Amino acid sequence: MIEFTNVTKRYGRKSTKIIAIDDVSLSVSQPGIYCLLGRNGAGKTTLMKLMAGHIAATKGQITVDNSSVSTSRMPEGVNYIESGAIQFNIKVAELIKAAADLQDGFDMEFAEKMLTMFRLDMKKNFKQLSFGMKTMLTTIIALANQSKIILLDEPTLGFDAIMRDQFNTLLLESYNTHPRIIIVSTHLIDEIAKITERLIIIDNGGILLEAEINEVDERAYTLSGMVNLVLPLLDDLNCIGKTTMGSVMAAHIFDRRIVPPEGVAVNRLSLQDFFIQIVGGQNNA
Amino acid sequence: MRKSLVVAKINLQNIKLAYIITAITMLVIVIQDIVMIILEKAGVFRNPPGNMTVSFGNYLFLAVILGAIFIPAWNFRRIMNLGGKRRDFFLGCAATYVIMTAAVSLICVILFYTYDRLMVSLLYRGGTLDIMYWFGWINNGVIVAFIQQFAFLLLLAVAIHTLWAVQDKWYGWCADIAIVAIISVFTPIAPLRAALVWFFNLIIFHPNAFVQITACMILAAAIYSLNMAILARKAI
Repeated sequence: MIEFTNVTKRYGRKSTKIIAIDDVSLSVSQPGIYCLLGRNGAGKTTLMKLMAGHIAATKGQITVDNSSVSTSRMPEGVNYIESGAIQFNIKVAELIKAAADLQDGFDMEFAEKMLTMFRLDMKKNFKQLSFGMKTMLTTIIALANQSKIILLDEPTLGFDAIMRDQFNTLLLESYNTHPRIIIVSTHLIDEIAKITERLIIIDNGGILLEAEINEVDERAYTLSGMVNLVLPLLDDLNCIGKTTMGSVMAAHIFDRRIVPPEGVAVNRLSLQDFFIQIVGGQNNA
Repeated sequence: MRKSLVVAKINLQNIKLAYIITAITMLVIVIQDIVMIILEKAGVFRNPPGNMTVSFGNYLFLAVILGAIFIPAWNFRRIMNLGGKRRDFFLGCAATYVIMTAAVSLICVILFYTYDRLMVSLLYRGGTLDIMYWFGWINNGVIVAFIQQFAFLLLLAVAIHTLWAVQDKWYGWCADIAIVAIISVFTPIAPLRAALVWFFNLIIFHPNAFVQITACMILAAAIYSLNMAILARKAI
């Protein structure tokens, strides 16, 4: 279980101080695949590195399984892997062997199965792999680890469409083999939505939303119609963004479902559009 | 313990640049020696009778020095990315330096009695300059000299490792300045110079081999233990 209590992380000196994480409280307890969404610079990587004890919090407390986390006390059960993680330039087979030797309970069978599935050449040196393949290898190393918490930072960066699909298979296969907390940060929202159960949206260093994907599917929708019909409906609803073109308005809602009056259509709001609206919706409002 | 040895194995396998630079240096020395022997045999050139050279084995110290730079600079993050822990890295690096310095010290002793002897008979008739010889360790017998050399190299390796591990921090720069300041300030001032002399006598020239070995080992352990605090603060 991961617990953040009023955690703040600042970078830099006084004059150039950047607040990457601002007074965040968060609790992740149930096993599942979690999707961490946020714009570039929103604080996703910092949040994950704090969870893994790779960096120290400026303020607040982080615990994993009730044990305090810091750089001097890296939690045993957490494995954080970033996209483009540097590895020793040795053969793929040797890297897998080294990881297996370094980690307790490394699932070699799973790793070998995945290496075959993704056609990773065991005889190639790490630097001879494409960027996508490097990331895939690093992800396999992370997922073969039987840690209770796996943190994958932008794992699909540099993947083509087929590799992204394969990655989702890999993630599901791993989760089915070892159910645990897997947090994936990504920008490819709709693709990860197929396999993820819970969504955490971060913006400007703060948690904007933490919800089940089903809940977002249920509560996020668009009302469209003439302005004079749509506008009165918004008084009782949580409108996260709206677009007006002439006399027609599209209002994006994250709230209870309503039965719209005649002349107003209810359309599904894709996860990507929901994210755009909730993070940048105020620009359209 | 098993993971520490895994880290040591990974470290020793992944400082290839240190091995390459050392190998190239030693290869150049061998080529130079061969060319000079050929020229001497051909009568083109005659090495002066008192001419000396650095012991061939002592070039291996380059591998220890470069290894102690590359391991904290390159290997730490890569080992973490393979799922290693800071504690494994800390213990693993200690094992790395023990294995490495013991091996280098042993090879140095072997080369001192083989390659160096050969070169003395063929080319450098004035003898070779070996630290076991310079520092008087060889007077204690070859086995004790090997241990004295090992202890000194271990101290050197962990000191470089520790200093390199803090170079990205302000206190690393302070440590650099402090070392330079101690040497430059202590040398001209007689009482302080005496302290420096005492220190170097203790870790290098002490007539009692046991004292020199113990001093080197205790100092190496003390310096290396600083890495616990350094690693605890190190961001990945």
